[in-house]
Amino acid sequence: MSVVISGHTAFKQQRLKAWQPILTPKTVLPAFFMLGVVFVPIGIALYLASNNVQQIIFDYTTCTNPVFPATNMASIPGPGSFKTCEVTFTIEKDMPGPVFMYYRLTNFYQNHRRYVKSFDANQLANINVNPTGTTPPAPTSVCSPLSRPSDAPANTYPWVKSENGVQKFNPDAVIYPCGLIANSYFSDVLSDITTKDKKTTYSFQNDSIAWPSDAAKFKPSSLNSINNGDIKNLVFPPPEWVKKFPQFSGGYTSANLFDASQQRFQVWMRPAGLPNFRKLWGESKATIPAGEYTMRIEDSFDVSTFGGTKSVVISTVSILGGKNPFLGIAYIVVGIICWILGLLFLIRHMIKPRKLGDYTYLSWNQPQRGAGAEGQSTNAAGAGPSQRY
Amino acid sequence: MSDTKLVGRRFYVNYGARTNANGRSERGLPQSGAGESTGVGGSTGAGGGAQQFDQPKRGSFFSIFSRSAKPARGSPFVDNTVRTARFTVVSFLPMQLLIQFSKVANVYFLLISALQLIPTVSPTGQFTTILPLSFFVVVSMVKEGYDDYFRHKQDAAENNSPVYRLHVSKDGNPANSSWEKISCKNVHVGDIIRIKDREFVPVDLIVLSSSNTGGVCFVETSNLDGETNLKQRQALKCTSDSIHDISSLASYHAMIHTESPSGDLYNFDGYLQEPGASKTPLTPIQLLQRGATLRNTHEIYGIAVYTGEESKIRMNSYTPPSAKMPHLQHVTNKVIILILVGLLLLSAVGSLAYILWDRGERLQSNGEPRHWYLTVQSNYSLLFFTFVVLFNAFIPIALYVSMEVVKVVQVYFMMNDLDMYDAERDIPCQANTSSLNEELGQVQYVFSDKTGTLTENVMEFRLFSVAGSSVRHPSCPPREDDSIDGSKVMQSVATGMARGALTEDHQQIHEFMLSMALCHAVVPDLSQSTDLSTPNSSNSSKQIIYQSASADEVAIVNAARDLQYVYKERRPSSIILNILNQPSDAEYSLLTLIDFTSDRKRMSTVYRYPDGRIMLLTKGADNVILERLCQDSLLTPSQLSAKKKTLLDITGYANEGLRTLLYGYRILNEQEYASWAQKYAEATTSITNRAETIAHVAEELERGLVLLGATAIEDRLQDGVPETIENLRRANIRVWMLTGDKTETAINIGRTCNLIKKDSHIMVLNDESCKIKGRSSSTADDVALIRTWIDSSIDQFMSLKRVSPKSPILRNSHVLVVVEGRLLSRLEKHAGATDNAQDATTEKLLDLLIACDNVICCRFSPAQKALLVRAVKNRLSKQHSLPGGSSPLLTELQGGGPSTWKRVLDTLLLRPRQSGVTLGVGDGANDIPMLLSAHVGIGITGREGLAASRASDYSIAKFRFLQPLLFVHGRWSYQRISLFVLGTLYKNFCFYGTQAVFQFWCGFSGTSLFEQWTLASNNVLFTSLPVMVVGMFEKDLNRSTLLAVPELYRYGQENKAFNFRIQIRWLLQGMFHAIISVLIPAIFYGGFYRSTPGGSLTTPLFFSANTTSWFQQTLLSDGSGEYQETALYPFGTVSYTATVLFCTIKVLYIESHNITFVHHAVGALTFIVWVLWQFIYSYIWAPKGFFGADTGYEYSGLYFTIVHTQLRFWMVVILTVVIGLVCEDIGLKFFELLSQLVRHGFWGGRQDSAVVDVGGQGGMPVDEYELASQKARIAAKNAMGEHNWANDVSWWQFWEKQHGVRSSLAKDAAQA
Repeated sequence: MSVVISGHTAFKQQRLKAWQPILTPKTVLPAFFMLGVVFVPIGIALYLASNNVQQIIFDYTTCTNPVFPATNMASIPGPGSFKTCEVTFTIEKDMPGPVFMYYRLTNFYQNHRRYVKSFDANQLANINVNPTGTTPPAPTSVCSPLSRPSDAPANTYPWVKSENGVQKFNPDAVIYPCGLIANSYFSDVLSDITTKDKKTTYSFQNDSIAWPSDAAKFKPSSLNSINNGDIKNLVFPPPEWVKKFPQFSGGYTSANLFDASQQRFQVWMRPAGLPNFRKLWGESKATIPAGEYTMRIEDSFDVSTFGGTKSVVISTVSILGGKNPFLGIAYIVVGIICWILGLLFLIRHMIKPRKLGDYTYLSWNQPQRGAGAEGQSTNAAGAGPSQRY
Repeated sequence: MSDTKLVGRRFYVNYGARTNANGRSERGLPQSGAGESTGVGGSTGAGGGAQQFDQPKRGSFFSIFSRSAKPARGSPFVDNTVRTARFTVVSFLPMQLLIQFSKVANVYFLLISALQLIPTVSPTGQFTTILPLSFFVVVSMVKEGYDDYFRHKQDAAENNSPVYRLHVSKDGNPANSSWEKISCKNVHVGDIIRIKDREFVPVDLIVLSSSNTGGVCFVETSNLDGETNLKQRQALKCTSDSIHDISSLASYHAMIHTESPSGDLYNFDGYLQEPGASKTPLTPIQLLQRGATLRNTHEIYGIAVYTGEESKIRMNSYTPPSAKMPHLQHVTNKVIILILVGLLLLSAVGSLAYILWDRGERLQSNGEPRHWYLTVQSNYSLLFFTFVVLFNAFIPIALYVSMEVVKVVQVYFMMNDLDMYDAERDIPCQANTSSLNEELGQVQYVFSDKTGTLTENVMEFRLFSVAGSSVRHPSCPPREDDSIDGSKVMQSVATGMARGALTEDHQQIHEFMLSMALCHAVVPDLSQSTDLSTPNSSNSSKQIIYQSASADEVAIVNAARDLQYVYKERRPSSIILNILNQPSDAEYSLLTLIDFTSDRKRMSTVYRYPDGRIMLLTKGADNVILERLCQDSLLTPSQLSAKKKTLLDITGYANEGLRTLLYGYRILNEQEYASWAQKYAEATTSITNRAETIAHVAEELERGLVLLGATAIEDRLQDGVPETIENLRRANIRVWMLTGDKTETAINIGRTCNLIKKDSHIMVLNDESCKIKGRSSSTADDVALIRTWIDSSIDQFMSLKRVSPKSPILRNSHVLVVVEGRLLSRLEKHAGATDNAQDATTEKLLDLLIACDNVICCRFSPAQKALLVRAVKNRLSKQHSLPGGSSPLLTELQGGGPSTWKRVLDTLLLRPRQSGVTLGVGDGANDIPMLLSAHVGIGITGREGLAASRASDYSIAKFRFLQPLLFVHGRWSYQRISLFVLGTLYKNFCFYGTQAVFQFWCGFSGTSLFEQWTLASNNVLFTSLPVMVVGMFEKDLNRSTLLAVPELYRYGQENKAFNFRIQIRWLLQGMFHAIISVLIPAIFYGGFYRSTPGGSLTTPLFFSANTTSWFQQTLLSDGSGEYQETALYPFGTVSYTATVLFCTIKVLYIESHNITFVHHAVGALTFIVWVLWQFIYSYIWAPKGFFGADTGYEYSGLYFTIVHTQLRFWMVVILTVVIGLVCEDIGLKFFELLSQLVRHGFWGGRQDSAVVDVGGQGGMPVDEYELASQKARIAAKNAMGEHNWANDVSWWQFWEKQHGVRSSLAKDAAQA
């Protein structure tokens, strides 16, 4: 490891120009005030931006079974065994387009590990699902624990024959779309909103609500090329769908196969990061004027068992997205705290300034434990031999 | 002498390698026939047998079996193939896998990889550990393979280099013999080889004959021991006489018996026996070792004795240097084990929480699962491992690898530092290791060699005392004492001699000068003297250059030359002198030379003078010679007075710090010498215990000497030594001087180099002080005496140090102990033999030495030096557990040992402890054991060769370079490595902690917040550079401050930068930042809201008069926008970005004191790489399924534009980071306040000063006077061992930036 000293560079001699900050009132006080100066206006701007967002939100969790004086929500019979509720609400100011409609779920753990992993991207993208169109669908294991009809609760699929009380499935049979995420697809149907006089309907389109990348990824399945007689016993809708979607309650046919290119489905398939989340239902380009409106909700999605709620949100967006006072307020609070700290330090500094680099604050000038004073005098006296200065 | 030890190896000159029953028993297997080996050596019988067996088959026999390094079948000896390569093509893979997976870290990550490969277990993909792990393993294997490939190539070159071997023609006619050219690897034991000038010696061989007269040849052995001087080797007289050319060589017959191969470079035993003649001993003088170069000699013939792997140089290379581990690494390892335990605990807690959540949320009253969209899990068996995989990276995968890189850069700075560069000799600081950098910042004990380390090791002959007068060398300036000028004395001797009538005094002087010129092992360097061989010119003969392993000898021979006793030539059995410019040279035939050994501490020569006298000349250390002088009654009155004067003189010389040697002589009569010579010849022929036997026989001769005179040689102090020692003292480093010199010399050197101050209290432990007289008393008595001495010394020490018996205040007295090695060895011998009481004595002594300010150890052998260092090291590590000090005596001094509960509290609060690091400094080969024993070994690149600096960990050119090495580089390296390790642990906690925090939002299910490859690349791409930059460039204080105020060095000794408390602080901060990184985005994107079902049917949540409070509304927000970026991984990206910023800002800006453009560049680079990664990965790789990337639901396509271009994303990130940093600062203050409260509140320890407070006013003008007075107080406090320096770093940071102080510090630093 022989090195011949060649250069006298600042780098080699470790004498690079450097900033060596130390915390002094001169640097700390302005820093606090600057932080405050920057943060408070930002916070105000953010708060105002959030405030400008027009947002209507109502909880319809108890729609099927109203327990509270349902002044503006009525429960009416819906398709199948489910009920439909009719909601009346007021928009107090004009909502300039685009206006978005969301459904909001709480306490729903889309991010649970068992749930998050349970889907088959290839199946949804129609990759290798059924290459020749006649062979059975490709088996899938990533959807565990819900990849084959035999994984479903007993007697979910009544059209499959049972022997000795046990249903005999075709060994090649798969669920399409498989997995827990697809199985729990949000099944409520939110209607467009109508003015109270029923004259005008504002419709919320669902053709550009998914991420463009998702829209490009999800493809209609080619499983419908399977012989119409076989498809019912080879491709099964997820068990919950049999219960909640009337069109699938009898299983798939070639003509009636689920289409993964539906954007609401794609929105659902991208799991939320937190147990409280909203998902986009539709977008209205038109401005919605102030007034009283009604909408109908077909209620089949069960949240009561896990203590969740569901709401409808109709909202405009700002540069920050939806309504969100927290961010602006947080900025303002941080800014104000900085000012308060700065002021406190400043006052202390004015009242009782401390000399920087004060010797009396050095640890050896502090009282020592035990006989401190005595020690100090002795030390000062005994400085002789080692005194080089 | 047991017979089994006689086992060696035997073969026959000119019969090829001969097998022999005893040949194989060299491996240490005693054989029944071993004892006969010497007896069977009758050349005719054995030679004939060998002829029968080998000669006809020679060619085929060896060509078949010569490939392997193992002995060929049927042949007792290995061939000459040398293999430094470690692997073969076949063994490479298995060996390497074994090596790689013997590293704990690799095994850990292999286990994690295995767990990860199970899809149901892993929450983070299948390959994110195994792929990087394989990459790193493959890279280091490839590197090893590459190195080994070069070793193979080198081996091949060496093994195939040409060698000329004697080929005896088949007809058996010696005259037809020829030299055949063969590959080096085909040389076998017993082969006769020809070597020419400047050729390498390819094998350990015994020189049979040389082209120089008398069989003399010279070798340079710089490849072996780094010494560049020429060494003389000489063929045995019998061989060199009978071999002159190839035909006489080919017809020469003999048997050679050598000892078994060993790695001892300096010893070799064997004998040669010609047919019908007696045995002639073989010594290292005849041995040319492989790797040496032939010099000054036209050509030699030699016979191979040790080949290939059995050669000395290869046997030596088998002892691997013991790997030293720095203290800090022990702590780091402990912390990592702690983290591992914590990780397992956390995994257990996580599993438990999962199960509880699952059960609690599982079933409603009707038996249906509550969270119906999740399935019901019944099997929790692998859950634990899921969490282990999720949290595995709490243990930093890259810590040790990147620490290596950081340390290499630190070493680069050391080696390039101009402050440690000796421009005169062009020697920079060199590091043979980089692993001990931080130890240099924690040294508490320095063990220093004297000669060549504290002193220059340029021996200057000063004075000699002979015939009752003290004579000074002509170059020595006139002195105050009665010394007379040497040249004048010589003139009068010359005139007296010319007249043929020498006075008695002059005769004495003449004899003394002769002994100076004769009694040595010095060689004139022919290469520089050949053109001066004409005897008439005394001027030119003055320029003869002498070579010797000992600088003292050269100085003496030079002095003799200067005084016209010119040593001109060494012949095989005589020495040619030119005395006082006489026209003809005189020849003194050398009969016997008994070498100097460190045990004997003397050398002797027996000459036959031209006048026929047989003279025994002995020179050696004073005590050794004095013991062997004849009784005074046998001396003439003038001899007696001369002796008295000489003894007086040498005391005077020693007091000046000069090295003294005594010369004695005895005239032997023929008979006496003849009988002794026979015994000696036997002794030198003995194969076993030869050294002891020789010493024993030599002892018989070396007695009854007449004192001839004494020489005094000065070894000057190196420049800056006293200042350096003073500064080391100020740095609370205790310097011990270990030397082989006698007590007086050592004490005097101690005085001149400031080890001893004017008012020091010296306590001497030697024979005299222990009242041990003579050698008659038993060791047990001696030990009892020593024990008494120790007890009384400890009492004395206590009274010297304490103001009053009960006061905790210390007196500023300097106490020094001087120990003589002999007593230590007596203690040691005794301790080995008996009970624990002796151990206790040794320990007591060690405690005393450890507590003393300085220690001087004299009359120490190299082994004793190493032994002492090891003992101190062990003692210190035992006392490591004492929080107060490193020695029980010191602890007692400082107000008694801490009470038990206080100690428990100290342990609980993780109070830092003393480092107890020892450092050895030395320059010679004799210091190597000491350097290897100490925690850190520093070699001084001295004049005694490079052996020490090669064996050391770091080598410097001068002793005073210790200051920049320790105070600046050591301190910085310590600070840097500490920050690096802390930062690495912090960043892993900060980043991977987010995973743990997130579990509160995902039902404790082990969901990863991040995409798998993004997660896996965190360590390498986004967080490793900042910590490495800090590890390379941090400077908490400037160079000049550290040099000017050595007291600041205590910082490292007291483990202030890296201890459990500080680690806990960093880990807590990491955890805190992890919490903030998840919490703030979680509030923003999800809120804490859970509306009650069955509450109001229509709940217009915002801005409606009849609902929740404003505060609730604020925290209810869920900031969705146009797209659903509350999705899992985009949410994680917010946390991720926040942690990247946290780590970068905290490490590069908040914790760093020296922020250069490198910091800015790396900070910016880290951030840019992170954003680029998002872009590239989400666009290019992820959609294509990059090694199992989660293609389905998270990261593809427009991710970058959706997340990173949105204002709200950046607003949340900035908010998170600012809150985290501001709170951390306040929280830190709180933490410190709390710890102060705890300490003061409980037992009122020392107060930590918040030195620079935010309430003050900066930029006060400097009061130079006040600063100076403070410095004086610092010095005083430091001398008391009282002051706690570490807390005042920020104070110095402030002051070193003030202009006036800066220049004053720079001035002080320049002095140091």
